[in-house]
Amino acid sequence: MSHTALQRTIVRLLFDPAFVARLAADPEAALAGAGLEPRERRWLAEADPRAFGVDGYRRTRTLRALLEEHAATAALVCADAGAVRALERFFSDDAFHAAIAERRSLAGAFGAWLLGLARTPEARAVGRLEALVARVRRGTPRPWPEGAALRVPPTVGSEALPAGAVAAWQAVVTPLRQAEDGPVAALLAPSRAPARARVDERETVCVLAVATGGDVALSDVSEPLHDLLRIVGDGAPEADALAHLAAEGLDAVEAAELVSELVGDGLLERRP
Amino acid sequence: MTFLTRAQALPMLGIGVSTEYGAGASRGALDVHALRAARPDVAGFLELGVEVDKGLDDDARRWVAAGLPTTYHFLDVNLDEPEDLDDAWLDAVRALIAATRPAWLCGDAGLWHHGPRERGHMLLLPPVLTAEAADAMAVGIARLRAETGLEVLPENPPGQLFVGDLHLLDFYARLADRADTGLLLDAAHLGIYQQMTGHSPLTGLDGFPCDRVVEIHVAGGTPRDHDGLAWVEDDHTTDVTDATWAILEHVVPRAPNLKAVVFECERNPLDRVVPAMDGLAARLRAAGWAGVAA
Repeated sequence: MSHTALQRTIVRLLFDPAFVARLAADPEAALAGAGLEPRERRWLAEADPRAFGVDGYRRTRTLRALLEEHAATAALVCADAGAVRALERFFSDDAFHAAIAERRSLAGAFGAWLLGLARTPEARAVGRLEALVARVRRGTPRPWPEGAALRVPPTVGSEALPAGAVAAWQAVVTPLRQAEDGPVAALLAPSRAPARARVDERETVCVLAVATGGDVALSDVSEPLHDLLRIVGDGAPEADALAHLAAEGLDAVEAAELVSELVGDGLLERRP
Repeated sequence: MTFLTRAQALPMLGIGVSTEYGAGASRGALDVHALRAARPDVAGFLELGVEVDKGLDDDARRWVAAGLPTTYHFLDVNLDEPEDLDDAWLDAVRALIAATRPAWLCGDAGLWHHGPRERGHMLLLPPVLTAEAADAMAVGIARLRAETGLEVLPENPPGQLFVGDLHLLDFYARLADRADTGLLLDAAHLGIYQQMTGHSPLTGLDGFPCDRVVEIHVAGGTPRDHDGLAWVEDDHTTDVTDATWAILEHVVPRAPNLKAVVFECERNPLDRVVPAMDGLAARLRAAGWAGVAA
């Protein structure tokens, strides 16, 4: 609906002064692809650009909320507080604009964007882990795909990560969380100690994340089970799951029993 | 049954105050229980500002436990987005209604959050002022009313930027008509809109269905300047602008279904709130409103 596209474009303008500047310089070019009608483009072009910047703390406030869930990755990516503050450039990135335009989670978009800044194996591993935790914590329900009989609940997820990823994350995030004013204040402290962690990319471990009431529990999971969860994903025919288990050496009865067991444990769910 | 008939069954709540989660815990904030004890005539009910993820704080629970009247002000739903009225949210709202027994639901009919409802997404923007947006919002209001069994009163939000081809009052008039609902008129927000769009405080009220106004909000604001752009911050001080008073005094005599007036002042101490509320009561009395004590 067009008014929805217009509202989302306004949100993008409220966060991004560079977008406001492009709008002022060349409205048609700035708004190309936004899905707006000519009169809606005109309304934005005629708006007082200063009105988009009235809330001078909007980006800072939102960045702080995003950092709460990606603190360890930010600590590994950013050498100092200045680099953390500079993450506000996310709000001028295509990743931010796409998330708003498509009504997606900003945390998910920020996590993926931050991961793109990771230059070390540790930052990449921790970034993937924090993105997984953020995703299952939300547990955003998704529609069942046609033909699917099984799916991994949105509050469950797994990732194959370099060995030591969970320990690396804990090593970085624990001191941040123990800081008196919380992890974001610790990240922005002028004298923050460099984050240190180690992962071993030669070895892979599969990590299972399960969210319950806002808390996310992490545990190791076998590679075959991780593969099964990946195959079932957002939804698949039960035959796909059984075929995978057969390839892993289970007979039909064992495979069916395992699927039922996983459903009972909440790691899979059947279509109602 | 049309809204104007249904309105007859709504209770007269009088003058009240509002709160939201944690508001009473901040330094210098209003103690709603102390206000109720000292001046029940201006604390007839408590408007509970609610995000279902946060629920109710201790002040709200204590008020409810005492069996005192409430209204439920949502802070977390975009009424023009069908996907925002999801089952989990509706279940939570119904549970809170069962716990608090509000007289009705109300809240800013604008954009409470971008994207899905989650931490870090909250904002409050006015709606796009078009007929299409009003019609989409009307669908959401009618659905929420059906899902909860309570009247749902849309409120005009604050803002510094308004786009669309309708005057804000024409937008809410259309919305009320399409949803066949009552209205919450925020006089302070309307004053801000009129200033930002270059109108006088009362512009557009001649075509506004004052008979649908069930509740009015009054609050103070603070003049600000951003790069030469004058705007008013809706910060709920006790310093009510002349425009807000003018709107209140114009609407009240024309609002036969007015049941409640909220003075939004949750972060001000009692000794500042009481004189301001006395001023509000005097103006309502002068306007002949039946909801204020003689």
